[in-house]
Amino acid sequence: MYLAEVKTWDIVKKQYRYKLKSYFGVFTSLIVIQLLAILFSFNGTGSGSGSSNSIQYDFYYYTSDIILIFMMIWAFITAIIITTRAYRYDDFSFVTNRVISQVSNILFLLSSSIFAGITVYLSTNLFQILAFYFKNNYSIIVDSLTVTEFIIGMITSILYIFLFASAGYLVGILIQLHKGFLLIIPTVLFGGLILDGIGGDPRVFENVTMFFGQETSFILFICKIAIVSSLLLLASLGISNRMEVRK
Amino acid sequence: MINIVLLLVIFVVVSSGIGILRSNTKLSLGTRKIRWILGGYTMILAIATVISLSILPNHKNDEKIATAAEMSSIEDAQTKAIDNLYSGNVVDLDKIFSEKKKWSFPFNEKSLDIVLTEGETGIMSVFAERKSENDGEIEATYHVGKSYIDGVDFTDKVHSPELLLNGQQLTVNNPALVTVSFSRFSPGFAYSQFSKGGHFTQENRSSVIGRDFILLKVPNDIEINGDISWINE
Repeated sequence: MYLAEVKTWDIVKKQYRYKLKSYFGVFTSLIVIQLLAILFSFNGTGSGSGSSNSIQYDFYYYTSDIILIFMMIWAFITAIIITTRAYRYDDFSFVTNRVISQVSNILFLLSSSIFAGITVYLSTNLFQILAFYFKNNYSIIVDSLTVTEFIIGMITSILYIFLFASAGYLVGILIQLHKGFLLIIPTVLFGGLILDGIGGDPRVFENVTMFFGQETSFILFICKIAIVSSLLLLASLGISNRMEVRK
Repeated sequence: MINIVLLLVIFVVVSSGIGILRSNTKLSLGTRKIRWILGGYTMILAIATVISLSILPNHKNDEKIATAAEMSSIEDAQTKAIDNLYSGNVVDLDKIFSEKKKWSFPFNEKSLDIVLTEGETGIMSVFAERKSENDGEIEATYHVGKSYIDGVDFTDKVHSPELLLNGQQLTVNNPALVTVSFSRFSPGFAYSQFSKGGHFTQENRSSVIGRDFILLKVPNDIEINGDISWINE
């Protein structure tokens, strides 16, 4: 029997609300990275050309691809950043435990991913309208979206961003567990990619990309992202429970 | 140039990342300032979206975008139809090719010389078929197959050749080369992954340039000189 009965979920909600306010700064980097992505997208995100007997053609794509990829990277880095000491020690202002702290962090990452996913769509409109007015377009073809395509596309963007945030969170927790991971993770990641490419037939990166990118069933895609993200976050949770309270 | 900027950006991001990971303090501009920046940015994005959704739909592509599989099937059908044409089979010609232009020339000479002029688009393929009677008329039809660039149908853009009959000489001037340049505004792979085969597979990013030829129907007893292919002869 205690004077004040506290429920775990109430503390999670309080911490989540606090983190939304406290970690607000990460959204300034979102704006900067999104503006950079718009800049890089401005020359077109893809192009093609060719000729035959009767037609000579060239075309440019203006899509949200670069903006979305930059947002995935942003989510990855943001997730690492919120595991750093400066952010982690904020949790000690509350009556808390590791699980509550982690869950509120995950909720924050989910909210950030939702915001980033929505702004990917909005900023695509911004850069397409800029490209429309400032680029020398001979003729324009606009691929429109149905309401279902729009909703599915938005959810897909959010899920991709959240997947990267989950991966970033695990990386961040590993680095906080031991600083040696700061060297090991990039070495394994980039070294693996280089070794994979040296053989002339890169498979690992391609297979990982295709595992999500070639999925044509939306339900299965959600399941894949949910399972992989859950595994990454559960691993983070497990590892963080082994960490010292405050060092 | 853009690669150097990209490298610079990556360097700055990595250096700041390492700096943040090593520091004990949070980077912040102050919540109030950030709120204003974020609010302003979101507002700009919302306005841009409203403008974009009200202007860009005027350039909407109402035609169905052909998939790589559909384009491949169309290309195969055209190649097969041309092969069949050489062996005298004209049965499915109208299903695969459209008649873009027709000519009719009164002709009462005994022989016809066909001159194919080589333009920037090469030399036109000409097939000839004898009619069952001598009606004193040469009929010519320009057949063109579907042309898709990046899945978009551009068949209508193809120009027709020019046919000139001077005495007993029929000159075929090849059509002028068509230059097609366009910008395609698409939502991106996240929006097309489940509806159009997905960007990862490069589903729509291929092109098919339709085959074209002229089919001549000539009076039965006429003699033709020139680089043509006879049907059923």
